[in-house]
Amino acid sequence: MAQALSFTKSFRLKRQQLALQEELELLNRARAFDQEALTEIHDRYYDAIYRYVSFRVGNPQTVEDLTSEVFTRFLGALGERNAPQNTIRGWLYGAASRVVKEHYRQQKRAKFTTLDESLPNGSGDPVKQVEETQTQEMLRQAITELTEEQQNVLALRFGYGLPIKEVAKTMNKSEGSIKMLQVRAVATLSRNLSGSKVWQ
Amino acid sequence: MSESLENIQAECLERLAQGESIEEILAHYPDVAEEIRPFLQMASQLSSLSSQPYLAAKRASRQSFLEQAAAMQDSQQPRPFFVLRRLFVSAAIVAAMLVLIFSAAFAFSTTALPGDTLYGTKRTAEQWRLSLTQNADTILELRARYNEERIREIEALLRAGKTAEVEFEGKLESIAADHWIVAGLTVLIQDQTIIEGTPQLGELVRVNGRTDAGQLFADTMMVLTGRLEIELPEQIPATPSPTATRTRRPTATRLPLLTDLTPTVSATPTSSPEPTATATPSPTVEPTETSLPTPTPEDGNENEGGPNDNDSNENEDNDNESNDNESNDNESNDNESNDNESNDNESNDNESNDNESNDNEREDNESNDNEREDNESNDND
Repeated sequence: MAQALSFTKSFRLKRQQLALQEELELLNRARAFDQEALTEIHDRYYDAIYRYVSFRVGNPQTVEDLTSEVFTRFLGALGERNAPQNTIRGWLYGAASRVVKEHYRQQKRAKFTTLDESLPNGSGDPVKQVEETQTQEMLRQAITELTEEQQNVLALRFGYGLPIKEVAKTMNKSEGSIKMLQVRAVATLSRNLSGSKVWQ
Repeated sequence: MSESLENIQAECLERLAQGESIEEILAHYPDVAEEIRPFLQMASQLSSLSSQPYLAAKRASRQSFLEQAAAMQDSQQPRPFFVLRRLFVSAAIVAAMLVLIFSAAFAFSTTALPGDTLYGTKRTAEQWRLSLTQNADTILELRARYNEERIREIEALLRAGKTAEVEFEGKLESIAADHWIVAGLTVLIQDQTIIEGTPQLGELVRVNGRTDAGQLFADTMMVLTGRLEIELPEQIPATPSPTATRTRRPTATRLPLLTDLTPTVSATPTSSPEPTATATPSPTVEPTETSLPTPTPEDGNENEGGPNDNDSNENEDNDNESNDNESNDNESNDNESNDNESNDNESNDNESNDNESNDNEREDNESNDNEREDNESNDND
């Protein structure tokens, strides 16, 4: 049994090493502006970055723009020889976090709020969809009042869709602290929105 | 919030992430089910907050991403214009540095003496300046200045007692058996000293020699009078040349003075060959040639005329005419005296006028020979 466990552990370790090596090779090819490598990076991470951004920004068009902006910054980093040093995913997550933060900062400076103008997709009750949109906007607004770390944990966990272990690795924290950050962030949101009329 | 409740909530979130429904999760924790229900509802709501991208949006993003990458790659490759500009800037820097180095070398070389490292640079700079100068007056002025510099260098070498090869030009101020004074410098004459031309007081001479232990020894002494003007037409345009060639005639007329000096010159062993050279004149051959076919003046021109000297040709034509008359007279009167006239200067059969004309003829031929030598030496130069 112990032998089986150690075998499984070493297999996982080897697979992680291979994945890391493969990602580094991909990164090196991307530094040389290899079109195939760049396409692979874009397609591999676009969905996750989009989900991360959409977790924090409601308007779909803005989400698309901000997601594209993350990849543009990635190219800029490659051109400046300031490319991601560790993992592509980690670098993209950091870039996405900064892009969203800058977006909200610009919105606050301009003193306006973008409206989600996306039309209901036809399935379901339109009134219910509008209510759902309002709920989501209220939730996103509540998230912005959390600490920076709590916001990132929630975005990575529920938006990016990473498991606790990967979130811990990405944020360079222990799994335990990521679990606690997550629990306290959800509890805070639950507590803050419990009195909200829409939430009821 | 108690630590145990946080742990339960963490477990609940794990279960939710694994796909369990809220009711299924709450069933595991009946004691705190109502307390954690809003927590789980909030977590469930958060899971629905993010959305999946549209495929069209993903494609558009990919296309834009790759286009930007291609543009960035092009901008990173050095463009020909920038390469050329970089090359030009590099060349300009190198050129500026070379100019600076050469300027510094030229500046430092002005005080260099023969034998010094920078002396070659000094002479090269002088040659460059001479070759870049077009004006005849400026060339003469520069030559005079550089010659003065040569004399100053020799004076410095003599003071320092250094050994070096030297060359300068100057007026011959004094002639003695073992030393001459040229441009104020005492030049020691040795047995191996080669003297070219017939030195004469006041004439311009070029001295090649060496300084050693404070003394200046001559290797070669060359009389330059009549030579310097011939060198100029090679370097300067047409206008100064006619005046230069005309000045040659006075030097030819000066030559009779040479005979006054010959006793002092012949006292030195090296100058003695010169009078013997004049004693076997080529003109004596020419009268015999002209006397045979009773030539026309055109023949005389063809035989004796140099391509560069029209004045001398005209004079020679006249001389030939007088020779013709003279030869006719001699033919009619005395053939022997004609032979003697052509071969012997001291013949008493000829009339005094004939002797005078013969003397003049010989002098003219001598001057022609000298001029021919000068031309040859100029061609060699």
